[in-house]
Amino acid sequence: MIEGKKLLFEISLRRFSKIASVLTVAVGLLVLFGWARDFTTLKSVLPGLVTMKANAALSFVFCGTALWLLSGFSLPRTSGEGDVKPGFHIWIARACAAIVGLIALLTLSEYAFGWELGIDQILFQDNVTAIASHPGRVAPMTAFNFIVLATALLSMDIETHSGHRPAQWLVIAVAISGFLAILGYMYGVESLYRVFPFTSVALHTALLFVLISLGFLCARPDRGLMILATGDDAGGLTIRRLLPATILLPPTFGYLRLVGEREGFYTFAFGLALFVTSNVLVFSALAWWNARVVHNLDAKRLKALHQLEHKTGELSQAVEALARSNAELQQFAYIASHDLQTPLRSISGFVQLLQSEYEGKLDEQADDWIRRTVQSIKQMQILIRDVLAYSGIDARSRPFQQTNVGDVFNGAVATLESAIRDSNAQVTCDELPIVMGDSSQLMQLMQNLIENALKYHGADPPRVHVSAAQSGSEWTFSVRDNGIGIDPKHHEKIFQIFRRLHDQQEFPGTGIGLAICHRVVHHHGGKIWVESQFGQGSVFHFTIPERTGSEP
Amino acid sequence: MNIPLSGARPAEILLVEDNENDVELTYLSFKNSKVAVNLHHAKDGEACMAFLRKQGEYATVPTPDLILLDLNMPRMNGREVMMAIAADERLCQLPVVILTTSQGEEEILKMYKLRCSSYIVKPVDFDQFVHVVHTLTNYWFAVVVLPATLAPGKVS
Repeated sequence: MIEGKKLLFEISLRRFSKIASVLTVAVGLLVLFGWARDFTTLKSVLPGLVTMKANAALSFVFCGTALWLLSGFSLPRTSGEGDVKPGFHIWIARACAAIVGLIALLTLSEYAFGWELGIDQILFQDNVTAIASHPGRVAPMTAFNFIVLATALLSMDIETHSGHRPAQWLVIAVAISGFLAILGYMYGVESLYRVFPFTSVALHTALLFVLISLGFLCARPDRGLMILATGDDAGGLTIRRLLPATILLPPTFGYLRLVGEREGFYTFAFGLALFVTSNVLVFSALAWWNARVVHNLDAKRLKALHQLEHKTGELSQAVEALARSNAELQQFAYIASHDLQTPLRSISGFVQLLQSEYEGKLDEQADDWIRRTVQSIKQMQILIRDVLAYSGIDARSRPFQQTNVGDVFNGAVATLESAIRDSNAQVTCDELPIVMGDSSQLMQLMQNLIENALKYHGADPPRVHVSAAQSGSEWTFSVRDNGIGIDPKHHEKIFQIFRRLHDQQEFPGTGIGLAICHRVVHHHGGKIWVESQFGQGSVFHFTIPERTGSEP
Repeated sequence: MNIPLSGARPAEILLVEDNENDVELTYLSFKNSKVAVNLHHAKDGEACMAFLRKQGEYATVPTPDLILLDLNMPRMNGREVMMAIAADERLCQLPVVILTTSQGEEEILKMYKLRCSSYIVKPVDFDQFVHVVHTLTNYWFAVVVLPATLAPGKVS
């Protein structure tokens, strides 16, 4: 069953619950009407049968009302919609249940202690049950059932930690009691509906007990025992197919057998054989039918599972191929840029020689061209160096080790010493922690961030401060500067490779530095981002997760 | 008595390098060296071994004081040269400086395990390369004491 179908099924169960409660109230009212106008048919269904007492009818009216009020308000497992709000109606429902319980309790007390409280004929005079010892008094079995029913109604939404609902077990007891009484009437077994020497449970009383119990169970189709009955799995399917037949068919067969025997169609033994045979046949057929459905369901499930496994396999192959091609590409980028260095070194060597040996010996035009060539080669060397660094991050990583970020900071500052001195900068840090990582990559990261902070400075001498804060299972590092800042619309872009915000004349660079930073942080399992406004300095944050082992 | 090479005779250096441009640039950078240098060239590992063993056209060459060895070469590469030198009792005392573009950590470790004397990554910039060459010659021929058999006048 798909979700929509399951929901529809639950809605129809709830509707049944409503109908059951209305029917119970209606029958109760009809019986009361029968008592008022003295209609025997309404009081006892068939002439000669015992009557439903006025108090029982009244109790059913209350029980039906209580169920009707309670049935519309359940606790769905998913959304907050339909939560029980202990509103006015809930209190009315509880009051109804309490009145039912009280009447039944008093009635039982009358039986137990021989009291005469005057409640039995408080509504109507009972002339029919004059033969019995207590005219108008509800049967003890009925009174007991009402107590159980009232308890169930009062505790309808109480649920144990394991998801059980005790109230459901209580109404099942009531239903069984009603069912036994009905069987008693069908088969003429008085002891099933009567506790001697007292009056008996009326036929429609028994029917109403069964009806309201079913209504009670259906009021919460997604709770307790009912989860299995309404489930959209093989279990739910099985129980929905087998349970109705299990409850209805044997009593019917038993009745037919009894009628046949009484009419003299066959003997007791033959009747028994007939009964057993029909049960065996019908239930075998049912079991077979159910098994076939479950079998088909299982076959479909297995097929789906195989398809899923197949797809998962394909997917992981694709992922593997992708990872391989990615690694190959990185390797290619690395080797290509590495091998580009060899001819470039020759070019640079000869051009530099040309410059040093022949400057001033050729004309000015030649000198200018040579100067431009030397300049471009220098740029290209830096570019290749950066591409090498970028493409080597994943492929050429070393196993992570305990790395003191304070040492990393000092190393970066030492490397940048001349740049710091030239720009008259102040580069400081707080106490920095030890993390797991690749120290040379972290050095690259720190150096790039500080270098940027020095490079993109404003009118004031650069001030750079590095700090760290622990949050949960990771460290957040922050590199703060007083530089020119970055417009927020560029905050994402700057981490992409070759994305620059300035031309070579303003600020020379390759557009790889922050891409390297991004890659290094990503390689360490962290995040990097920037907080900045144009003209107000920048803070670059990056995180490094804490870990114990060495993961590349 | 062992002494550093003096002006008695020029230092003999064997450059093993397949790239013609690199050879030319290395020649040029030795030009202004304070130490007098005789730079010989072998274009790959096979030529290098023939030179060291004085085979064929190399019958009359001197035994070099220092070998500058590139790693990536056709036919016989620098790694194989290192192993061949280490395995040859008459050659294993020769100092070998690796001069290459490779800078893989494993490679560096491997070369030192084969007992190379130094490992130098060729600088990309020519001026720096010249600086490296001068530092190198100064160190090997003015600071370091070389094996006695290689001292001036004792070359066989």
